[in-house]
Amino acid sequence: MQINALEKTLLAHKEKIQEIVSDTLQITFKNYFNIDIYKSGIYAGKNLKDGIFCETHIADPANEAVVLISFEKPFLQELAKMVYPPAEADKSASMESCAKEIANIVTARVKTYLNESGYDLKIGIPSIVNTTELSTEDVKVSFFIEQSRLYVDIGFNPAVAKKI
Amino acid sequence: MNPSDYKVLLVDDNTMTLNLMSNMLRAQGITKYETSMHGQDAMDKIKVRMELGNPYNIIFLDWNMPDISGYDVLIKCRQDPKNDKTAIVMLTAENQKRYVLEAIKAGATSYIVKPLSQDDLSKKMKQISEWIDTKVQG
Repeated sequence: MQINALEKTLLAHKEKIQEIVSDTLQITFKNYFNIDIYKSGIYAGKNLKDGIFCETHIADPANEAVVLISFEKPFLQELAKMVYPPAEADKSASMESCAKEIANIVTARVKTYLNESGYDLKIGIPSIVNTTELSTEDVKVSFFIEQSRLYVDIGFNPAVAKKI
Repeated sequence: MNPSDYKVLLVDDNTMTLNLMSNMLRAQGITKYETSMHGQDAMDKIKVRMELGNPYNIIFLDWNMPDISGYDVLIKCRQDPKNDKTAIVMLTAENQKRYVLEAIKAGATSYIVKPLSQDDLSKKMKQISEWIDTKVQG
């Protein structure tokens, strides 16, 4: 399968993108949830069985890529409890809102880095997707927090073009 | 003007951000706030307040929203001179300098990059309070 120019760019900047994602997650969890986490590197191979998946489109005038971020549902439930009143914290909409906001911040930081490197990317609105759609995504960002250690994994798949 | 008297409108399409910002504002002693999740709804609320002669003192506007963006709401607001004394603060995850300049050029009073901390908001509120006091005295 062929990958487009934007996907090649993301692939070329993979290490830097991973660093940006890690830094952004650290500051987001500290500022929003008062959770201290520490970078621990890559944790590939974690099988996310109970997850919520959020995609955000980024595009330049010619190409488009999708950043897909996966979240463990129990973890999102804990985050939602910190922000929402008890009656709302366990609702799917609350957990999805947490996922979308974190995905928005992470993707915006990646976009900012690429734009400062000379690209002209625009960002879409994050949305929740079903796991059955995973085969069409370009950039997969998975992260896990275990015992205050942050593990970030980034993978790339060829994409099916979608419009913002 | 005392911050506890501020009338605030929080606009963001994400409920988590609205809840977080609400909590942070309360910690600043600001309790008179309303929320909105859509650009059009925000513009309607701003218009009603204007017509009642009781405008918001501060509007926090998320930049990236579906349909009508926060930037579009900012432009519309600043087209009406009656909103001149309302501080408009753009909220966004975009930390590129050109977006900050674009927002200020369009009439934003200030700009907050997400994820903001309580301390970030506290510092911004001092600047915003000074801006409001200058406008009220002027």
